[in-house]
Amino acid sequence: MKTKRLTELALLTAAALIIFIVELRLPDLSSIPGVKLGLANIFTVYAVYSYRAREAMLLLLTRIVLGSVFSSNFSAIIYSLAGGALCIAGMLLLKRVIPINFLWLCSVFGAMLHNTGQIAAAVVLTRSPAVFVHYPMLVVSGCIAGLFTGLCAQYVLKRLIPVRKNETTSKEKEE
Amino acid sequence: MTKGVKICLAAAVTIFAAAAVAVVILHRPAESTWVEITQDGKVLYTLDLANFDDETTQTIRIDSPDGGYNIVEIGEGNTIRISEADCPDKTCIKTGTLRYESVPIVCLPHKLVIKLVDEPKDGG
Repeated sequence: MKTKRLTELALLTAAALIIFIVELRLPDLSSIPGVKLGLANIFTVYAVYSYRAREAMLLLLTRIVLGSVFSSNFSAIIYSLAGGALCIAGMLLLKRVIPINFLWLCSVFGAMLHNTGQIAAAVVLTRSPAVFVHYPMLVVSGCIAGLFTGLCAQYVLKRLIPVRKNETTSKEKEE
Repeated sequence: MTKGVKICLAAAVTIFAAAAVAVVILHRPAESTWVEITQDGKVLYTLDLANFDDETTQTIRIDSPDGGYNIVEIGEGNTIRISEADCPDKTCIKTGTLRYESVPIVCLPHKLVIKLVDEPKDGG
C-alpha cells in the first residue's frame, strides 16, 4: 500500500470514528436496539466505491474495533462485526452490478444486510427466536437510513471525482 | 438504467414493502387487557389490567432465581412496564410500555417475559 493511500484511509477512518462517536451522543431514535442512522457508514459506502475491496474491508474493521473501544461497549462488537461483514460483502458484490450513479441503492442493500447480520447474531447469541419480531422494523429503518447515508456518500463522491482527476493529471504533467 | 440496476431497485422496493406490511401486522394495538408475567417458562402472574385503579401506580418486585430483580410498574391508564432492573443492558426498561400483542417486554438476563394474552375462559 502506498503511503498516500494509507494516509487517505487513515483519514477516512478517523472521520468515520468522529461521526460514529457524535452519533452515540444523540438520543435513541427507537426502543428497538439497532435502529439508528449509522452515519459512519457514509464512509463505508464511499470506500467501497473509491477503494479496493481489501481497503474498504480494512477501513470498516478498524472503525468497528476502535469504535467499540471508544464507546466502551464491547458486548456490541459481535453484532457490529456480524452486520458489518455481511454488509460489506454484499455491497462489494453489488458494486459490480450497480453503477456509481445508483450508489444509494447499493447503500440501501448494505443497510438491510447489516441489520440482517445483526439480528442473526442476536438470535444465535440469545438463543431466542423471539428477537425476530424486530426484524421487519429493522429492515424498514435500515432502508431509510441506508438511503440517507448512500445519498450523502454519492454527493461527496461526485464532488470529489473532479478533484481526484485533477490530481492525477497534474501528477502526470510533473512526471 | 441498466437491467441489473432495475432488478436491484425492484428487489429493494419489494423488500421494503414486505417489511412495512410486516411491521403494520406485528404492531396492531392489543385488544386484550390481560397480562401474563413469566419467568424461565413458569407463569408467575396473570393479571387483568382493567382491574387496577386508573390513577394510582402499583409496583411488583420480581426477584430472579440467580439474584437479580425487576420492578414491574402498573401505572396510570392501566399501562404496564418495567421501571427498574439490575440487568446490564436495560433493554426491558427501554422497551417501555407494553402495547402490542406480538411485541412482549423481555428481560433476557433474568429470563422475564411480560406479554399480553387472551382473556382466560374460566374467568381467571
